[in-house]
Amino acid sequence: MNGTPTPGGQSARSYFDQPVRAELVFSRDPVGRTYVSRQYMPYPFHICRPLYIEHDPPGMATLYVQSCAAGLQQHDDLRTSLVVGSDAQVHYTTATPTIVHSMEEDQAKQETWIEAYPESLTEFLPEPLILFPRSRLRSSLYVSAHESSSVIAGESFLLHDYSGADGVFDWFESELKIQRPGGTALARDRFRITGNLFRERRPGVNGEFVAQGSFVVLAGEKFTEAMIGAFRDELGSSTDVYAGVSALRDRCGVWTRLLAPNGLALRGAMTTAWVAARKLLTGLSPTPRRK
Amino acid sequence: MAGEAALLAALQHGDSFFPSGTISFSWGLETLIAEGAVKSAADVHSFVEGQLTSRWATCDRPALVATYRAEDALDEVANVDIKLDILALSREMREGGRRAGGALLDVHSSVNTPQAGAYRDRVRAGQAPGQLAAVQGLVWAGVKVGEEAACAISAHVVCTGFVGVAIRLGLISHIAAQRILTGMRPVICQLLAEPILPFDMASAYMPAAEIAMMRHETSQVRMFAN
Repeated sequence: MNGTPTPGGQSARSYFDQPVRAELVFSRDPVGRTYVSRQYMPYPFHICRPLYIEHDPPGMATLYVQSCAAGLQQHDDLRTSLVVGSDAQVHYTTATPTIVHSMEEDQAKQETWIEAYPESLTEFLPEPLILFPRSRLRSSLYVSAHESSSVIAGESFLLHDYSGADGVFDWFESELKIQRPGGTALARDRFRITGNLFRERRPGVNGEFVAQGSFVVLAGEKFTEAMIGAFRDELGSSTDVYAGVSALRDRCGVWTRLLAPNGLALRGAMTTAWVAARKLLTGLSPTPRRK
Repeated sequence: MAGEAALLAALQHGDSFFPSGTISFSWGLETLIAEGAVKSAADVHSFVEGQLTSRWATCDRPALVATYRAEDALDEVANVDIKLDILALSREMREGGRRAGGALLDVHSSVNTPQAGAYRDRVRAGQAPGQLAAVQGLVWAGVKVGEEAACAISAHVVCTGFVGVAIRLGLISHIAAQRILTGMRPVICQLLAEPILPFDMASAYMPAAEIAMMRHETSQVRMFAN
Protein backbone atom coordinates (compact mmCIF):
# COMPACT_ATOMS: atom_id res chain seq x y z
CA MET A 1 0.00 0.00 0.00
CA ASN A 2 1.29 3.49 -0.66
CA GLY A 3 0.27 5.07 2.65
CA THR A 4 -2.61 7.17 1.30
CA PRO A 5 -6.24 6.47 2.21
CA THR A 6 -7.82 3.98 -0.15
CA PRO A 7 -11.61 4.04 0.05
CA GLY A 8 -13.17 0.65 -0.66
CA GLY A 9 -15.39 0.37 -3.70
CA GLN A 10 -13.47 2.89 -5.78
CA SER A 11 -11.83 2.00 -9.04
CA ALA A 12 -8.10 1.64 -8.51
CA ARG A 13 -7.47 3.18 -11.90
CA SER A 14 -9.58 6.22 -11.14
CA TYR A 15 -7.92 6.54 -7.74
CA PHE A 16 -4.33 6.39 -8.95
CA ASP A 17 -5.02 7.41 -12.56
CA GLN A 18 -2.74 4.68 -13.83
CA PRO A 19 -2.66 0.90 -14.16
CA VAL A 20 -2.00 -1.04 -10.96
CA ARG A 21 0.96 -3.41 -10.91
CA ALA A 22 1.25 -5.90 -8.05
CA GLU A 23 4.21 -8.21 -7.51
CA LEU A 24 4.84 -11.23 -5.34
CA VAL A 25 7.97 -13.35 -5.26
CA PHE A 26 8.03 -16.64 -3.37
CA SER A 27 11.29 -18.27 -2.31
CA ARG A 28 12.26 -21.31 -0.31
CA ASP A 29 14.34 -20.83 2.81
CA PRO A 30 17.17 -23.19 3.88
CA VAL A 31 14.83 -25.33 6.00
CA GLY A 32 12.41 -25.84 3.14
CA ARG A 33 9.75 -23.31 4.00
CA THR A 34 8.31 -21.10 1.29
CA TYR A 35 8.07 -17.41 2.17
CA VAL A 36 7.24 -14.13 0.45
CA SER A 37 10.65 -12.73 -0.39
CA ARG A 38 9.34 -9.67 -2.17
CA GLN A 39 5.94 -8.02 -2.25
CA TYR A 40 4.41 -4.94 -3.73
CA MET A 41 0.66 -4.99 -3.34
CA PRO A 42 -0.90 -1.57 -4.00
CA TYR A 43 -4.60 -0.75 -3.67
CA PRO A 44 -6.92 -2.55 -4.23
CA PHE A 45 -4.90 -5.69 -3.42
CA HIS A 46 -4.57 -6.93 0.13
CA ILE A 47 -2.78 -10.04 1.35
CA CYS A 48 -2.58 -11.72 4.71
CA ARG A 49 0.55 -13.45 5.96
CA PRO A 50 1.20 -16.88 4.41
CA LEU A 51 -0.47 -19.82 6.11
CA TYR A 52 1.04 -23.28 6.52
CA ILE A 53 -1.77 -25.77 6.48
CA GLU A 54 -1.89 -29.33 7.75
CA HIS A 55 -1.71 -32.04 5.05
CA ASP A 56 -0.04 -29.70 2.57
CA PRO A 57 3.46 -30.60 1.36
CA PRO A 58 5.93 -29.53 4.08
CA GLY A 59 6.75 -25.83 3.83
CA MET A 60 4.02 -25.00 1.30
CA ALA A 61 2.65 -21.47 1.70
CA THR A 62 -1.01 -20.65 1.23
CA LEU A 63 -1.74 -17.05 0.37
CA TYR A 64 -5.19 -15.47 0.32
CA VAL A 65 -5.50 -12.37 -1.82
CA GLN A 66 -8.35 -9.97 -1.22
CA SER A 67 -9.65 -6.87 -2.93
CA CYS A 68 -10.38 -3.73 -0.90
CA ALA A 69 -12.50 -2.49 -3.81
CA ALA A 70 -15.11 -5.26 -3.45
CA GLY A 71 -14.39 -6.58 -6.92
CA LEU A 72 -13.59 -5.24 -10.35
CA GLN A 73 -14.96 -1.85 -11.36
CA GLN A 74 -15.05 0.00 -14.64
CA HIS A 75 -11.66 1.51 -15.59
CA ASP A 76 -9.78 -1.03 -13.46
CA ASP A 77 -6.51 -2.16 -15.00
CA LEU A 78 -4.90 -4.62 -12.60
CA ARG A 79 -1.82 -6.68 -13.23
CA THR A 80 -0.37 -9.24 -10.85
CA SER A 81 3.02 -10.87 -11.25
CA LEU A 82 3.71 -14.09 -9.31
CA VAL A 83 7.22 -15.46 -9.35
CA VAL A 84 7.59 -18.86 -7.74
CA GLY A 85 11.26 -19.52 -7.18
CA SER A 86 13.14 -22.80 -7.43
CA ASP A 87 11.74 -25.48 -5.06
CA ALA A 88 9.11 -23.09 -3.65
CA GLN A 89 5.55 -24.35 -3.16
CA VAL A 90 2.58 -21.98 -3.19
CA HIS A 91 -1.19 -22.22 -3.06
CA TYR A 92 -2.55 -18.86 -4.25
CA THR A 93 -6.26 -18.19 -3.92
CA THR A 94 -8.85 -15.55 -3.16
CA ALA A 95 -11.03 -15.51 -0.08
CA THR A 96 -14.24 -14.86 -2.00
CA PRO A 97 -15.50 -14.77 -5.57
CA THR A 98 -14.60 -11.63 -7.49
CA ILE A 99 -17.59 -9.56 -8.49
CA VAL A 100 -17.29 -7.85 -11.84
CA HIS A 101 -19.56 -4.88 -11.35
CA SER A 102 -22.00 -3.33 -13.81
CA MET A 103 -20.31 -0.67 -15.93
CA GLU A 104 -21.66 2.48 -17.45
CA GLU A 105 -18.57 3.16 -19.52
CA ASP A 106 -15.22 1.63 -20.47
CA GLN A 107 -14.23 -1.84 -19.22
CA ALA A 108 -12.13 -3.63 -16.60
CA LYS A 109 -8.93 -5.49 -17.28
CA GLN A 110 -6.99 -7.95 -15.18
CA GLU A 111 -3.80 -9.76 -16.07
CA THR A 112 -1.90 -12.35 -14.08
CA TRP A 113 1.62 -13.46 -14.95
CA ILE A 114 3.04 -16.59 -13.36
CA GLU A 115 6.69 -17.58 -13.62
CA ALA A 116 7.32 -21.06 -12.26
CA TYR A 117 10.98 -21.88 -11.65
CA PRO A 118 12.57 -25.36 -11.58
CA GLU A 119 11.11 -27.92 -9.17
CA SER A 120 8.51 -25.45 -7.91
CA LEU A 121 4.83 -26.20 -7.28
CA THR A 122 2.31 -23.45 -8.02
CA GLU A 123 -1.41 -23.71 -7.39
CA PHE A 124 -3.28 -20.72 -8.81
CA LEU A 125 -6.91 -21.22 -7.83
CA PRO A 126 -8.91 -18.02 -7.38
CA GLU A 127 -12.61 -18.24 -6.62
CA PRO A 128 -14.91 -17.62 -9.61
CA LEU A 129 -15.56 -14.32 -11.31
CA ILE A 130 -19.20 -13.29 -10.96
CA LEU A 131 -20.23 -11.29 -14.00
CA PHE A 132 -22.91 -8.75 -13.18
CA PRO A 133 -25.26 -7.35 -15.84
CA ARG A 134 -23.59 -4.84 -18.19
CA SER A 135 -20.08 -5.76 -17.06
CA ARG A 136 -17.18 -5.82 -19.51
CA LEU A 137 -14.01 -7.66 -18.61
CA ARG A 138 -10.79 -8.69 -20.29
CA SER A 139 -9.06 -11.31 -18.15
CA SER A 140 -5.69 -12.86 -19.01
CA LEU A 141 -3.51 -15.49 -17.40
CA TYR A 142 0.00 -15.99 -18.76
CA VAL A 143 2.06 -18.88 -17.43
CA SER A 144 5.75 -19.46 -18.02
CA ALA A 145 6.55 -22.88 -16.61
CA HIS A 146 9.96 -24.51 -16.41
CA GLU A 147 9.98 -28.15 -17.58
CA SER A 148 10.59 -29.43 -14.04
CA SER A 149 7.97 -27.22 -12.37
CA SER A 150 4.39 -28.24 -11.59
CA VAL A 151 1.56 -25.78 -12.14
CA ILE A 152 -2.10 -26.22 -11.32
CA ALA A 153 -4.24 -23.34 -12.57
CA GLY A 154 -7.99 -22.99 -12.47
CA GLU A 155 -10.24 -20.20 -13.66
CA SER A 156 -13.99 -19.99 -13.59
CA PHE A 157 -16.91 -17.64 -14.01
CA LEU A 158 -20.64 -17.47 -13.66
CA LEU A 159 -23.22 -14.82 -14.32
CA HIS A 160 -25.56 -13.34 -11.78
CA ASP A 161 -28.21 -10.68 -11.88
CA TYR A 162 -28.60 -9.26 -8.36
CA SER A 163 -31.95 -7.72 -9.31
CA GLY A 164 -33.46 -11.13 -9.98
CA ALA A 165 -34.09 -10.22 -13.60
CA ASP A 166 -32.42 -11.86 -16.60
CA GLY A 167 -29.66 -9.30 -17.13
CA VAL A 168 -26.36 -10.41 -18.62
CA PHE A 169 -22.83 -9.07 -18.97
CA ASP A 170 -22.00 -7.05 -22.10
CA TRP A 171 -18.93 -9.09 -22.97
CA PHE A 172 -16.23 -11.18 -21.38
CA GLU A 173 -12.87 -11.91 -22.95
CA SER A 174 -10.55 -14.52 -21.51
CA GLU A 175 -7.09 -15.67 -22.47
CA LEU A 176 -4.83 -18.34 -21.05
CA LYS A 177 -1.38 -18.70 -22.56
CA ILE A 178 1.14 -21.28 -21.41
CA GLN A 179 4.74 -21.34 -22.51
CA ARG A 180 8.22 -22.48 -21.55
CA PRO A 181 10.70 -19.89 -20.24
CA GLY A 182 12.40 -19.78 -23.66
CA GLY A 183 9.14 -18.73 -25.27
CA THR A 184 7.96 -22.05 -26.76
CA ALA A 185 4.16 -21.93 -26.69
CA LEU A 186 2.42 -24.97 -25.23
CA ALA A 187 -1.25 -24.03 -25.17
CA ARG A 188 -3.52 -21.07 -25.70
CA ASP A 189 -7.17 -20.75 -24.80
CA ARG A 190 -8.80 -17.57 -26.02
CA PHE A 191 -12.50 -16.80 -26.10
CA ARG A 192 -14.70 -13.76 -26.33
CA ILE A 193 -18.38 -14.01 -25.56
CA THR A 194 -21.20 -11.58 -25.35
CA GLY A 195 -23.90 -11.87 -22.75
CA ASN A 196 -26.48 -12.19 -25.49
CA LEU A 197 -24.67 -15.18 -26.98
CA PHE A 198 -24.42 -16.76 -23.55
CA ARG A 199 -28.15 -16.22 -22.99
CA GLU A 200 -29.02 -18.07 -26.20
CA ARG A 201 -27.78 -21.28 -24.51
CA ARG A 202 -27.08 -23.05 -27.77
CA PRO A 203 -26.17 -26.73 -27.77
CA GLY A 204 -22.44 -27.01 -28.43
CA VAL A 205 -21.82 -23.53 -27.00
CA ASN A 206 -22.84 -23.30 -23.33
CA GLY A 207 -26.02 -25.36 -23.59
CA GLU A 208 -28.20 -25.07 -20.50
CA PHE A 209 -25.33 -24.01 -18.28
CA VAL A 210 -24.57 -20.64 -16.70
CA ALA A 211 -21.20 -21.32 -15.10
CA GLN A 212 -17.89 -22.46 -16.56
CA GLY A 213 -14.55 -23.60 -15.27
CA SER A 214 -11.21 -24.44 -16.85
CA PHE A 215 -8.47 -26.36 -15.11
CA VAL A 216 -4.97 -27.05 -16.34
CA VAL A 217 -2.22 -29.14 -14.82
CA LEU A 218 1.34 -28.94 -16.11
CA ALA A 219 3.44 -31.59 -14.53
CA GLY A 220 5.30 -33.36 -17.29
CA GLU A 221 4.39 -36.31 -19.43
CA LYS A 222 4.84 -38.91 -16.70
CA PHE A 223 1.71 -37.70 -14.88
CA THR A 224 -0.48 -37.16 -17.91
CA GLU A 225 -2.18 -40.56 -18.22
CA ALA A 226 -2.75 -40.97 -14.50
CA MET A 227 -4.10 -37.42 -14.22
CA ILE A 228 -6.53 -37.94 -17.10
CA GLY A 229 -7.70 -41.18 -15.50
CA ALA A 230 -8.19 -39.52 -12.11
CA PHE A 231 -10.15 -36.60 -13.56
CA ARG A 232 -12.35 -38.94 -15.59
CA ASP A 233 -13.07 -40.98 -12.49
CA GLU A 234 -13.91 -37.91 -10.41
CA LEU A 235 -15.68 -35.67 -12.93
CA GLY A 236 -16.49 -37.65 -16.06
CA SER A 237 -19.60 -39.33 -14.71
CA SER A 238 -20.71 -36.42 -12.54
CA THR A 239 -24.36 -35.49 -12.84
CA ASP A 240 -23.68 -32.07 -11.28
CA VAL A 241 -21.45 -30.77 -14.08
CA TYR A 242 -20.70 -31.47 -17.73
CA ALA A 243 -16.96 -32.05 -17.86
CA GLY A 244 -14.25 -33.36 -20.14
CA VAL A 245 -10.53 -33.93 -19.82
CA SER A 246 -7.80 -34.35 -22.41
CA ALA A 247 -4.04 -34.23 -22.93
CA LEU A 248 -2.45 -30.98 -24.03
CA ARG A 249 -0.16 -30.79 -27.05
CA ASP A 250 2.89 -33.05 -26.78
CA ARG A 251 1.33 -34.45 -23.59
CA CYS A 252 2.89 -31.63 -21.57
CA GLY A 253 -0.12 -31.46 -19.30
CA VAL A 254 -3.81 -32.02 -18.81
CA TRP A 255 -6.70 -29.80 -19.71
CA THR A 256 -10.19 -29.89 -18.19
CA ARG A 257 -13.20 -27.86 -19.17
CA LEU A 258 -16.46 -27.99 -17.27
CA LEU A 259 -19.89 -26.41 -17.43
CA ALA A 260 -22.14 -26.17 -14.40
CA PRO A 261 -25.76 -25.18 -13.72
CA ASN A 262 -24.83 -22.96 -10.74
CA GLY A 263 -22.00 -21.65 -8.64
CA LEU A 264 -22.25 -24.40 -6.05
CA ALA A 265 -21.75 -27.18 -8.59
CA LEU A 266 -18.96 -25.19 -10.23
CA ARG A 267 -17.10 -24.72 -6.96
CA GLY A 268 -17.55 -28.38 -6.03
CA ALA A 269 -16.13 -29.56 -9.37
CA MET A 270 -13.17 -27.17 -9.25
CA THR A 271 -12.35 -28.37 -5.73
CA THR A 272 -12.64 -31.99 -6.83
CA ALA A 273 -10.20 -31.36 -9.69
CA TRP A 274 -7.76 -29.62 -7.37
CA VAL A 275 -7.84 -32.42 -4.78
CA ALA A 276 -7.32 -35.07 -7.49
CA ALA A 277 -4.37 -33.17 -8.98
CA ARG A 278 -2.76 -32.51 -5.58
CA LYS A 279 -3.07 -36.15 -4.56
CA LEU A 280 -1.42 -37.34 -7.73
CA LEU A 281 1.40 -34.81 -7.65
CA THR A 282 2.24 -34.99 -3.95
CA GLY A 283 0.54 -38.11 -2.59
CA LEU A 284 -1.23 -35.90 -0.06
CA SER A 285 -4.92 -35.09 0.15
CA PRO A 286 -5.26 -31.38 0.96
CA THR A 287 -7.33 -29.89 3.73
CA PRO A 288 -10.22 -27.89 2.24
CA ARG A 289 -9.56 -24.15 2.49
CA ARG A 290 -11.80 -22.13 4.78
CA LYS A 291 -13.62 -19.43 2.85
CA MET B 1 -15.76 -16.52 -68.61
CA ALA B 2 -13.31 -15.93 -65.76
CA GLY B 3 -16.26 -15.54 -63.39
CA GLU B 4 -17.76 -18.79 -64.60
CA ALA B 5 -14.44 -20.58 -64.15
CA ALA B 6 -14.19 -19.28 -60.58
CA LEU B 7 -17.77 -20.38 -59.89
CA LEU B 8 -17.05 -23.85 -61.25
CA ALA B 9 -13.89 -24.06 -59.12
CA ALA B 10 -15.89 -23.05 -56.04
CA LEU B 11 -18.54 -25.67 -56.83
CA GLN B 12 -15.88 -28.35 -57.23
CA HIS B 13 -14.07 -27.57 -53.98
CA GLY B 14 -17.21 -26.97 -51.92
CA ASP B 15 -18.85 -30.18 -53.11
CA SER B 16 -19.07 -33.05 -50.63
CA PHE B 17 -18.09 -35.24 -53.63
CA PHE B 18 -14.57 -33.77 -53.32
CA PRO B 19 -12.59 -36.48 -51.46
CA SER B 20 -11.41 -34.31 -48.58
CA GLY B 21 -12.18 -36.81 -45.83
CA THR B 22 -14.25 -34.34 -43.81
CA ILE B 23 -17.09 -36.86 -43.48
CA SER B 24 -15.05 -38.71 -40.86
CA PHE B 25 -15.36 -35.93 -38.27
CA SER B 26 -18.25 -34.77 -36.08
CA TRP B 27 -16.39 -32.17 -33.94
CA GLY B 28 -18.34 -33.16 -30.83
CA LEU B 29 -21.76 -33.51 -32.43
CA GLU B 30 -21.75 -37.32 -32.23
CA THR B 31 -21.36 -37.16 -28.44
CA LEU B 32 -23.87 -34.34 -28.03
CA ILE B 33 -26.44 -36.40 -29.93
CA ALA B 34 -25.59 -39.57 -28.00
CA GLU B 35 -25.93 -37.72 -24.68
CA GLY B 36 -29.22 -36.08 -25.65
CA ALA B 37 -28.03 -32.47 -25.75
CA VAL B 38 -28.92 -32.36 -29.47
CA LYS B 39 -32.12 -34.25 -30.13
CA SER B 40 -34.06 -32.54 -32.92
CA ALA B 41 -33.64 -30.76 -36.24
CA ALA B 42 -34.12 -27.47 -34.36
CA ASP B 43 -31.25 -28.40 -32.06
CA VAL B 44 -29.03 -29.23 -35.05
CA HIS B 45 -29.94 -25.87 -36.58
CA SER B 46 -29.01 -24.08 -33.36
CA PHE B 47 -25.81 -26.09 -32.98
CA VAL B 48 -24.62 -25.34 -36.53
CA GLU B 49 -25.38 -21.64 -36.16
CA GLY B 50 -23.49 -21.58 -32.86
CA GLN B 51 -20.43 -23.25 -34.42
CA LEU B 52 -20.46 -20.82 -37.32
CA THR B 53 -20.73 -17.79 -35.06
CA SER B 54 -18.53 -18.86 -32.16
CA ARG B 55 -15.86 -20.89 -33.90
CA TRP B 56 -15.79 -20.57 -37.67
CA ALA B 57 -16.09 -16.77 -37.89
CA THR B 58 -13.70 -16.05 -35.04
CA CYS B 59 -11.04 -18.71 -35.54
CA ASP B 60 -11.24 -20.76 -38.76
CA ARG B 61 -11.95 -17.85 -41.05
CA PRO B 62 -9.07 -15.66 -39.74
CA ALA B 63 -6.69 -18.65 -40.07
CA LEU B 64 -7.88 -19.46 -43.58
CA VAL B 65 -7.56 -15.86 -44.73
CA ALA B 66 -4.08 -15.56 -43.19
CA THR B 67 -2.75 -18.58 -45.08
CA TYR B 68 -4.66 -17.66 -48.25
CA ARG B 69 -2.92 -14.28 -48.24
CA ALA B 70 0.45 -15.86 -47.41
CA GLU B 71 0.32 -17.64 -50.80
CA ASP B 72 3.80 -19.02 -51.52
CA ALA B 73 5.34 -17.94 -48.20
CA LEU B 74 5.20 -21.39 -46.63
CA ASP B 75 7.01 -20.28 -43.45
CA GLU B 76 4.16 -17.87 -42.82
CA VAL B 77 1.59 -20.59 -43.54
CA ALA B 78 3.37 -22.88 -41.07
CA ASN B 79 3.42 -20.12 -38.46
CA VAL B 80 -0.37 -19.75 -38.63
CA ASP B 81 -0.78 -23.53 -38.75
CA ILE B 82 1.24 -24.05 -35.55
CA LYS B 83 -0.64 -21.28 -33.72
CA LEU B 84 -3.93 -22.88 -34.75
CA ASP B 85 -2.71 -26.22 -33.41
CA ILE B 86 -1.81 -24.59 -30.09
CA LEU B 87 -5.34 -23.20 -29.84
CA ALA B 88 -6.78 -26.73 -30.11
CA LEU B 89 -6.69 -27.83 -26.49
CA SER B 90 -8.37 -31.22 -26.61
CA ARG B 91 -6.68 -34.17 -28.27
CA GLU B 92 -9.48 -35.12 -30.66
CA MET B 93 -9.96 -31.54 -31.75
CA ARG B 94 -6.24 -31.15 -32.41
CA GLU B 95 -5.80 -34.52 -34.10
CA GLY B 96 -9.05 -34.15 -36.04
CA GLY B 97 -7.85 -30.83 -37.46
CA ARG B 98 -4.53 -32.40 -38.42
CA ARG B 99 -6.10 -35.48 -40.04
CA ALA B 100 -8.68 -33.46 -41.97
CA GLY B 101 -6.00 -31.00 -43.11
CA GLY B 102 -3.66 -33.84 -44.06
CA ALA B 103 -6.34 -35.56 -46.14
CA LEU B 104 -7.11 -32.34 -48.01
CA LEU B 105 -3.42 -31.77 -48.58
CA ASP B 106 -2.95 -35.28 -49.97
CA VAL B 107 -5.72 -34.83 -52.54
CA HIS B 108 -4.40 -31.45 -53.64
CA SER B 109 -0.88 -32.81 -53.88
CA SER B 110 -2.19 -35.56 -56.12
CA VAL B 111 -3.87 -33.06 -58.46
CA ASN B 112 -0.79 -30.80 -58.41
CA THR B 113 -2.29 -27.79 -56.69
CA PRO B 114 0.53 -25.24 -56.35
CA GLN B 115 2.40 -25.48 -53.02
CA ALA B 116 0.33 -28.46 -51.81
CA GLY B 117 3.12 -30.98 -52.35
CA ALA B 118 5.77 -28.76 -50.78
CA TYR B 119 3.61 -28.12 -47.73
CA ARG B 120 2.68 -31.80 -47.42
CA ASP B 121 6.41 -32.54 -47.23
CA ARG B 122 6.72 -30.10 -44.32
CA VAL B 123 3.83 -31.75 -42.53
CA ARG B 124 5.29 -35.21 -43.08
CA ALA B 125 8.63 -33.96 -41.75
CA GLY B 126 6.91 -32.79 -38.57
CA GLN B 127 7.66 -29.14 -39.29
CA ALA B 128 3.96 -28.17 -39.42
CA PRO B 129 0.82 -29.83 -38.06
CA GLY B 130 -1.36 -29.33 -41.17
CA GLN B 131 -4.47 -28.01 -39.45
CA LEU B 132 -7.54 -27.97 -41.70
CA ALA B 133 -8.26 -24.22 -41.82
CA ALA B 134 -4.60 -23.41 -42.52
CA VAL B 135 -4.48 -25.97 -45.34
CA GLN B 136 -7.78 -24.76 -46.80
CA GLY B 137 -6.39 -21.24 -47.19
CA LEU B 138 -3.23 -22.53 -48.85
CA VAL B 139 -4.84 -24.89 -51.35
CA TRP B 140 -7.81 -22.72 -52.23
CA ALA B 141 -5.45 -19.85 -52.97
CA GLY B 142 -3.57 -22.34 -55.15
CA VAL B 143 -6.67 -23.24 -57.18
CA LYS B 144 -7.59 -19.55 -57.39
CA VAL B 145 -11.14 -19.63 -56.08
CA GLY B 146 -10.96 -16.07 -54.72
CA GLU B 147 -10.64 -15.14 -51.05
CA GLU B 148 -14.31 -14.49 -50.38
CA ALA B 149 -15.32 -17.63 -52.22
CA ALA B 150 -12.77 -19.59 -50.16
CA CYS B 151 -14.41 -18.30 -46.97
CA ALA B 152 -17.87 -19.16 -48.30
CA ILE B 153 -16.73 -22.67 -49.26
CA SER B 154 -15.23 -23.15 -45.79
CA ALA B 155 -18.45 -22.09 -44.06
CA HIS B 156 -20.51 -24.25 -46.40
CA VAL B 157 -18.29 -27.27 -45.75
CA VAL B 158 -18.72 -26.75 -41.99
CA CYS B 159 -22.51 -26.78 -42.43
CA THR B 160 -22.68 -29.78 -44.77
CA GLY B 161 -20.31 -31.67 -42.48
CA PHE B 162 -22.55 -31.18 -39.45
CA VAL B 163 -25.86 -31.95 -41.17
CA GLY B 164 -24.15 -34.99 -42.71
CA VAL B 165 -23.30 -36.21 -39.21
CA ALA B 166 -26.90 -35.70 -38.07
CA ILE B 167 -28.23 -37.60 -41.11
CA ARG B 168 -25.85 -40.51 -40.66
CA LEU B 169 -26.75 -40.78 -37.00
CA GLY B 170 -30.42 -40.95 -37.98
CA LEU B 171 -31.43 -37.73 -36.23
CA ILE B 172 -32.61 -35.74 -39.24
CA SER B 173 -33.79 -36.42 -42.79
CA HIS B 174 -32.16 -35.19 -45.99
CA ILE B 175 -35.01 -32.68 -46.36
CA ALA B 176 -34.46 -31.33 -42.84
CA ALA B 177 -30.75 -31.05 -43.67
CA GLN B 178 -31.53 -28.94 -46.73
CA ARG B 179 -33.79 -26.70 -44.62
CA ILE B 180 -30.94 -26.19 -42.17
CA LEU B 181 -28.49 -25.39 -44.97
CA THR B 182 -30.95 -22.88 -46.41
CA GLY B 183 -31.39 -21.36 -42.95
CA MET B 184 -27.62 -20.98 -42.58
CA ARG B 185 -27.28 -18.98 -45.79
CA PRO B 186 -28.24 -15.58 -44.29
CA VAL B 187 -26.12 -16.37 -41.22
CA ILE B 188 -23.08 -17.02 -43.40
CA CYS B 189 -23.78 -13.94 -45.54
CA GLN B 190 -23.91 -11.79 -42.41
CA LEU B 191 -20.67 -13.27 -41.07
CA LEU B 192 -18.94 -12.81 -44.44
CA ALA B 193 -19.95 -9.15 -44.39
CA GLU B 194 -18.23 -8.60 -41.05
CA PRO B 195 -14.56 -7.54 -40.90
CA ILE B 196 -12.07 -10.39 -40.74
CA LEU B 197 -10.28 -10.62 -37.39
CA PRO B 198 -6.48 -10.53 -37.49
CA PHE B 199 -5.36 -14.10 -36.85
CA ASP B 200 -3.57 -13.17 -33.60
CA MET B 201 -6.98 -12.13 -32.26
CA ALA B 202 -8.51 -15.51 -33.15
CA SER B 203 -10.71 -17.04 -30.48
CA ALA B 204 -13.34 -19.74 -30.11
CA TYR B 205 -16.18 -20.22 -27.67
CA MET B 206 -17.80 -23.64 -27.87
CA PRO B 207 -17.16 -25.24 -24.47
CA ALA B 208 -19.93 -27.84 -24.76
CA ALA B 209 -18.59 -29.09 -28.10
CA GLU B 210 -15.03 -29.11 -26.67
CA ILE B 211 -16.17 -31.14 -23.67
CA ALA B 212 -18.10 -33.47 -25.98
CA MET B 213 -14.92 -34.10 -27.99
CA MET B 214 -13.02 -34.87 -24.77
CA ARG B 215 -15.73 -37.31 -23.69
CA HIS B 216 -15.71 -38.88 -27.15
CA GLU B 217 -12.15 -40.10 -26.46
CA THR B 218 -13.58 -42.86 -24.24
CA SER B 219 -16.85 -43.41 -26.05
CA GLN B 220 -17.52 -47.09 -26.68
CA VAL B 221 -19.57 -46.60 -29.86
CA ARG B 222 -17.97 -44.26 -32.37
CA MET B 223 -18.90 -43.64 -35.97
CA PHE B 224 -16.71 -40.53 -36.25
CA ALA B 225 -13.12 -39.65 -35.35
CA ASN B 226 -14.12 -36.91 -32.91
